[in-house]
Amino acid sequence: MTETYVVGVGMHPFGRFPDKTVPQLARDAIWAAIEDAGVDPRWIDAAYVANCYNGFFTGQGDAIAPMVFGRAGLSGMPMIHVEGGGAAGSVAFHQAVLAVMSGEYRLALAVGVEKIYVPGNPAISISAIGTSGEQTTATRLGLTWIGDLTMSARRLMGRYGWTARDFATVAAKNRRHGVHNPESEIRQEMSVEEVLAARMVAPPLTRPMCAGAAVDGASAVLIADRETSARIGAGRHPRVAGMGVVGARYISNRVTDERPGMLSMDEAGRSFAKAYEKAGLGPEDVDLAQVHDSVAPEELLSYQVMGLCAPGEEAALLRSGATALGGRVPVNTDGGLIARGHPISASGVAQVVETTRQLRGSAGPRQVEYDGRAPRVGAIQNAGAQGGPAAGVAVSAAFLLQA
Amino acid sequence: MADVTDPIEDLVAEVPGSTRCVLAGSRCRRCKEVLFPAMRDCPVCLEPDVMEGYQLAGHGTISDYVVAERGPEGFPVPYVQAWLKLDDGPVVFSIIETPDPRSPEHLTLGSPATMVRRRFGADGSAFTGWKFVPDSLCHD
Repeated sequence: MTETYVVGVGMHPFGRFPDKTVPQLARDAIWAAIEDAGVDPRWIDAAYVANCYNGFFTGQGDAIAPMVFGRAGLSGMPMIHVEGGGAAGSVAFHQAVLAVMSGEYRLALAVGVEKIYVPGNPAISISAIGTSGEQTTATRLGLTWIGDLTMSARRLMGRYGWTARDFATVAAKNRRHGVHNPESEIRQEMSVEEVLAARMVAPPLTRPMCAGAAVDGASAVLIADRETSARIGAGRHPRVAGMGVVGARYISNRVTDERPGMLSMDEAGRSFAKAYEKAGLGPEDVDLAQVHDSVAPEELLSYQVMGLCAPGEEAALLRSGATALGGRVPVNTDGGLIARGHPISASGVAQVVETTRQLRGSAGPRQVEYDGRAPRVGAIQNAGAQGGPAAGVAVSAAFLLQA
Repeated sequence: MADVTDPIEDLVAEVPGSTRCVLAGSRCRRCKEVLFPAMRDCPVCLEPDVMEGYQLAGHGTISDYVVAERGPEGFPVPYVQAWLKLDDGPVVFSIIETPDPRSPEHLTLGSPATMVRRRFGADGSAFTGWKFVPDSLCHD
């Protein structure tokens, strides 16, 4: 097993691009990553692309990998398509790292690309995203993603003392971070009061507390083994120090009456235990984190499952400013899903892009610094695709990158 | 054996001579786990073909709920989304029927509610599913 490094990153900005196709979005991110790495693209010997809804929108549900990589001009390597809802990008990254780690490949490309925005038809975007959960009786009888997440959030408010103001504080913080990210969907600040006063989606969640998913975008990273990494570029390349990728388990309804804490975070504790052990690191080593804030309460719970605080201390950690830029352990430094936008498959790879930029010290005005140095350890949390009797996520991912 | 993609019509039935409903679930012959929606293979003992049809009583308690101010097509807002713990074990999703969805009066966590058959969807794609009514609103 060889060590693996992130040697190149690239993005197509997240936002609304009705005139662009999936391959057009992807090629911008792919070539940005190749140029960032300063690598000969002929060296790429495996390519993975995450995409969830091209089949839904265009009928082309298979052969997405040759379409995406081929139209970017690449050929000769195996081209592999993966899915997994909000975690699809993490699946592509995980597979690319495993491919290189195994010694079978030396330089692998992982891409996440999604096109969801349809002018004048928000309902079809909601329908597309709905397919990332298994179509069960529940969805036919009126259950929605936001409804389900809000039910969990309401229960956890009672358990941990979270308030609607805390959710608004997360949203305002991430929007403030997004202002400094030119690739972010939303770049306007909003005060806590404005977030609280915005249109209600499902009490107590207002619209700005939820990530926009009618969004297009693409992200790409290049993974290399130690020898290839040493040949590429002059900068330091963050190492993939630990990974923990697991799936939800069915728990008998005779064992527990309790529904899970929050879909995206339920298995994150297991994921991080594995990643920390592999990396020989602990929560105290984490300098910054990118987490799955499709709704603001998920970010609060992420503090606990990553081990940044004890159960019940999430709101206190947030209120102290520790998780904002300038704080002890900034979370969602690029705006997170709430501001950067959530083009489903592109989100997971974008988390790796942001973490890499931060660890290299190349994140521009949102650069995290400790005593004048760039951060050393970045944590990433992501999860997605729901179904089966476990009624949990198919993929829960935790990654630790180390400079 | 029903699968999750089977028509909802086949899953809920009224008990003859009463307004009570039963739901078509399944039970493992080995470990006795009761599941809804019905399965063939048991996720607890991980044995194939061990589950048999099992009727679940349409009654349970409210585990979680939320007032949806936005919903998919065909679901006029506001409406109450909820997870209910059935008396037989499994947790099912349902809309809760109350006179005023925004009023929490009948929406108490842990309070009992009863399943009723209701029509869903528009002409052509209409089907019979279920909702739950808080027992505090039932008069029979």
